[in-house]
Amino acid sequence: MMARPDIELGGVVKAYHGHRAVDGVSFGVERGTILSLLGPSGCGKTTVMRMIAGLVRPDAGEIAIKGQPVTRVPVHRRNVGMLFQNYALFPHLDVGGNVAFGLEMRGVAKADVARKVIDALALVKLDKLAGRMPHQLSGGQQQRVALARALVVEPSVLLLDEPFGALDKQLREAMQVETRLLQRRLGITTLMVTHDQEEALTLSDEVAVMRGGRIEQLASPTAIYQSPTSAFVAGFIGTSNFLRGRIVLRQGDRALMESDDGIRVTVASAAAVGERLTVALRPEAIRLDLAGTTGSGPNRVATTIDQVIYRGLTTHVYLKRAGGEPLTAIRQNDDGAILAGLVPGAAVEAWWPDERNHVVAEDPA
Amino acid sequence: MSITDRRTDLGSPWRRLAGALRGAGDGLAGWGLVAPVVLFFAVVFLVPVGLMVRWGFYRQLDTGALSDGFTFANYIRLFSVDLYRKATWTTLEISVLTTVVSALLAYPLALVMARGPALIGRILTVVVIAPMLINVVVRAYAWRVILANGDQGIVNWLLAQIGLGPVHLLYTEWAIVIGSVHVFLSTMVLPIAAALGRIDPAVEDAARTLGASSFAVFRRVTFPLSLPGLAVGSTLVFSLTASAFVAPALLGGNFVKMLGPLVQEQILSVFDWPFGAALATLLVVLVMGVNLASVGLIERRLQRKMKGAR
Ligand SMILES: Nc1ncnc2c1ncn2[C@@H]1O[C@H](COP(=O)(O)OP(=O)(O)OP(=O)(O)O)[C@@H](O)[C@H]1O
Ligand SMILES: [Mg+2]
Repeated sequence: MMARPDIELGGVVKAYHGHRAVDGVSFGVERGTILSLLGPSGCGKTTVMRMIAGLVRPDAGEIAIKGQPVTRVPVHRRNVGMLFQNYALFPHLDVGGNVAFGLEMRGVAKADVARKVIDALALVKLDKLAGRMPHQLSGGQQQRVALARALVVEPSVLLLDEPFGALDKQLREAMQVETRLLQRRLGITTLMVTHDQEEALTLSDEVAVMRGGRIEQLASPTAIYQSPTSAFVAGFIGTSNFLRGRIVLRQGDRALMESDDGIRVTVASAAAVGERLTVALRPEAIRLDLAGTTGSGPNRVATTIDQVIYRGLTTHVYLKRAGGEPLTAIRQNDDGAILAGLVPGAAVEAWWPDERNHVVAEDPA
Repeated sequence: MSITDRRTDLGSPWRRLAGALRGAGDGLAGWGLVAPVVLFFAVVFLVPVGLMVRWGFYRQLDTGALSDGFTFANYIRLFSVDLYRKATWTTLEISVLTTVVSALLAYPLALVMARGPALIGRILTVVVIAPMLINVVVRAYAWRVILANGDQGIVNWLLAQIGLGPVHLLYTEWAIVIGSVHVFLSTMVLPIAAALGRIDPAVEDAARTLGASSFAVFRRVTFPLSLPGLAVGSTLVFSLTASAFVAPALLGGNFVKMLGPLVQEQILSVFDWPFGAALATLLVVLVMGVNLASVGLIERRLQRKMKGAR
């Protein structure tokens, strides 16, 4: 039997000035896992997190932490560890004082406080800096102090609001790895907010993509990348080519769709002939044949190269079809070199395996 | 390091000033920038103060002429005559009282201004600043009307209506304290409100998630972080009250003597400039001494607190 999730939200709503910033959000974070809330700016990620922490009171819905309803429990009794975007260290307390704060609030005996502070700082490899003031620390060090401060009280759950947003790329990646290792070691249930999709995919056990106050899709990183259920998710996580058209032929559980601009693709769909569909196609699924037209079946199209952008590991090829409709392909670079012959103006045949055609729900808007 | 963090840093104003001066001295350009101010202060501040201190060591002869050389006669008189010793004590007492009362009134006001609804904040700002637009003499006379003794004062009239009083207010230390608090309240409120406004709300949120109740957040985070504002306000109010002369003269009359009116008397009525200068020098030394001592005290306390928190 599966235990109840450590964090549970049921139909949580929060409106500001009549606008629903969070519009009926329900999900659970299983014990010991990391779930990321991912979404564009203003979609309500921080608001969801602040409601779990108790800093914002929901208008409707229920929140439970470790099986206990907390919707009406004040912040300071919820025992959550929260990491703020700019760390929010106490500027008037030194590193040790910052980490000790939560313990003092819990009335821990002085001797135990000292020991736990040292242990917590050792955990984030900062035990030498206990006497420093926050403004004497680098961004990465501040982040670690904030983490130690949140973890030292042994919180029920850990909430991270864009924890790596203020760090430069190198440090961000190092801190991501470190935080993930620490989270695994402590086995602490974690909810992370981010608008960095790469961060969400690499760090999380599950990803919830939010949009306009709702959760659009919640799935594992691989599932959310490979099987996005909506055009929004397909476009937000990685990039996608979208083909919109009608079913023209049915054969068993497969169907042939012709897009409005004339590309024919085969899809796994139960839709009837004449029905409209949207198909998402990942750029990296597209193969390029320089030999020119080799066939006329579905899942292929004749194009010319519009632009070639070298990105080191990959090359982004922006293609144009006869009518000017764009199509983007991403190719892996062998030995770091661009595939010979990929030059603007060249005629290429683009094709892809039919299992890469992915039917997605269209935006209601 | 972000700017917000630096602004909420509790480093003493003095250390920051020193840093700024050092920074300014980094090049000729720096000196060029501060030169006009330095010159201005040299002319309107250092020179007169220097002259004042020097005059304190002259002595007015009975003929009205000044003695040559250097004498401590003024200071001996100052410390041996009861009136002057008492005036010094009264000045300190009234200034400390005014500072404490202003701080107690100003802090909640500043909290509402910085944290309350924007509209109320703006209205309060106007209310707090409005008295500054009225001449201090006018205000002092207004307070005379309000606090007048016997059956003339508004306060006593009101008390009489409910069958109390009368109380003796005008020409007491409390009259001066009340008048001074009114005059200097904005000087106390504004720096505190500014310090409170600079506190990052996320820092208080962090304290709450760490288990601090509202009161604990205030005691351990909000209040300590607002201390720089409180220190600036207190320093200003103390200094201004101690050296004031209009409010003490009009509200204290001849019954409560402070150093400010005494200096004025010596110079403009008695024409004993050397003794007036000695009194003024004492006032300056007193104000500076108390300010330096309290800034030092606050700083030491804060540092001990930070260490102790570990
Ligand atoms: N205190 C508030 N008062 C009024 N509106 C608010 C408040 N907090 C959030 N909102 C609004 O709610 C919506 C969601 O805000 P939220 O901070 O949760 O977004 P977010 O997903 O965290 O965005 P970002 O990625 O930019 O941090 C926004 O439209 C925002 O303007
Ligand atoms: Mg946010």
